[in-house]
Amino acid sequence: MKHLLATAALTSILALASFGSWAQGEPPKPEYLVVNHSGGVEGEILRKAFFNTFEDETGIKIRDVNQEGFGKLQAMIETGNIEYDVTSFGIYDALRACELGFLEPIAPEIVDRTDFVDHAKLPCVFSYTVATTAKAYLEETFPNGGPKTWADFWDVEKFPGPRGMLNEPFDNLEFALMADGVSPDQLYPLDLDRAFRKLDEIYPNVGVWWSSGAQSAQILIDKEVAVSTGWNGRFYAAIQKGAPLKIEFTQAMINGGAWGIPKGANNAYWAQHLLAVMARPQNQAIMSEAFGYSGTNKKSIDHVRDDIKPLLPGHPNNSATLVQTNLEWWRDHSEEVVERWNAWMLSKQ
Amino acid sequence: MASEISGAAGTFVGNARRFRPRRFAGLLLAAPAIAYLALFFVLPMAEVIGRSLAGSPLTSYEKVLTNGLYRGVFIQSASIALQVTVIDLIIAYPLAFYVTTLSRRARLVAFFFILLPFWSSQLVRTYAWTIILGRNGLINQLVLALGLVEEPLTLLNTRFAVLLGSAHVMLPFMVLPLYASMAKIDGDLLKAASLFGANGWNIFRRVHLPLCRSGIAAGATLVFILTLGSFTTAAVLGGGRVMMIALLIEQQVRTVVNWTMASALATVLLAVTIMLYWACDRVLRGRAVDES
Repeated sequence: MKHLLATAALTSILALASFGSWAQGEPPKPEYLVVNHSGGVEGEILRKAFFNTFEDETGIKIRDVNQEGFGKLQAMIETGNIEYDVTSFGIYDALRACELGFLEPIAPEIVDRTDFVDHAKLPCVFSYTVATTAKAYLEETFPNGGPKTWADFWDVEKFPGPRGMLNEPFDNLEFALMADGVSPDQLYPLDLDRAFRKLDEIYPNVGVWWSSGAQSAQILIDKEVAVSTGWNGRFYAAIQKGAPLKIEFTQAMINGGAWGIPKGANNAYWAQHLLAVMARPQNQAIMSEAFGYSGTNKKSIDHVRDDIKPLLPGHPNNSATLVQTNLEWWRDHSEEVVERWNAWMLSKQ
Repeated sequence: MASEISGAAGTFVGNARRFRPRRFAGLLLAAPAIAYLALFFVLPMAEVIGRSLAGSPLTSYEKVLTNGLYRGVFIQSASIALQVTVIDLIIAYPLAFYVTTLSRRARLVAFFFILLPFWSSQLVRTYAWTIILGRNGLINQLVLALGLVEEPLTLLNTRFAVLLGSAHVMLPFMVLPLYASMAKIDGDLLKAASLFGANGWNIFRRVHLPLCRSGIAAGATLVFILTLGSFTTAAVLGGGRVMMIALLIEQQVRTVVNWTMASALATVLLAVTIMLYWACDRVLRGRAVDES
């Protein structure tokens, strides 16, 4: 009871303090804020981790919409009819939107990103997750320890069994180059010839080229493959359901979501405040426990349950060898690389 | 099958004037269906064709038609569709013939089993194959237990699995038109051939097979067209190794977010389908005229 009272008191002081700073000349509160996101499981987690807090603190309701596509955003900006205040999108779309001036800059005086990981401090793109493409295997498959590096993943003598890999070039080219001995800080610009030569080597041993996140965990559970690449949150979800998977984070590639506020959004000021909630370590910790991804706020892991901490990419045991994707390189080359990837795949048939 | 009926009707309607009021009534009856198709098929299709022309017109088409990659995927899809058609024809022909020899009652039972695949979702049917073909699937458990192989066979996530799964899903589309053709064959013709000394092979080749021509054409066209544009089977059973047009279109939309390219691919697929349908329709019309 005492504890509860103390928490309540603390919350109200914090709330008062922040309300105080808004007091001078802040725009009127709208009835609701329109947030565009992909819905589904992520929608539930967003509500639990962020939206409820925002609604409680501001009294502004969140209205969810699910509208795909960069084209939609572009049309909204051009016609000046902005239908949502905050949106999530693919990271490359976000970078493009930022470059074209379609997004409001993230306001540092409202959204506190001082404790954020460096790659999540982009001027007009916000992210709350550190997601990775890692690898995983069933504990029983490699009882004496499984493949750690990408060179190990390529080594079918030492770690026998079929492999699972994403049916797209993203991350795979980096994995191939690291397996071929390229140092993680020397990856970009990617040497495509070298990467595809290395992929030629693994191709006969890839049992499944997976295309959905859930599939990457399922092929391990079904023992279709011995080890697979995959988004660590999907492996985490399988572990939460009781699958004895081991996630190996060595040399995993960092990915992350992307959020932004469309230029001229009706409630841009309050949208910044939503992002402020999404930047808080306590709220990001709720997201981490549900999703298995780390928060972009480095302090968020302190608020995560102890048994979950080691399963997150941001845990000190896991974070040392993580590799950052060069987003600009991919933004400029993805079309050409996807085409080459398709041609490569077709040549194998 | 639909075209067969309309083709036959065309030859019967000799006196067009007498049928005009009826034709008008027919149009009225079809109005809801036409409105539905216009709204939910023609309109979105026009939108897709419009999108395929976005940017500098025709560059996407030029790419689809000249780039080795896209041509290769079309050829690969066509080759899979052709193989599935041949497999289904070989399975369906004797099956459909067998059904014609059954009593009325037994025929109902037979049709129940032939149509059974339609009663479950295609996704479920396709996933069922993963249980049979998987590395720990029924077949591998059997051959491993019998000591026939040391290592599990790679059956799932192969072209073989895609052919098998597609042939299964498409089989009813082949059986039904074939049955419709065979049911119309006068049994006396076969007897007559036999009386005149034809052996079984000759009866099949010179009497039965030619009389089934329209059924074969209808069934083969249906199976070929449906397989050519199919997505689920290759996506679930191909393990990413088997590339088909529908998978490429999905990738263009989801991964590359290139709607122009996706729309151009879809439009070319539609054009190929219409041409095939037209060719089949010609064959069937020719047949209807021959018969009259």
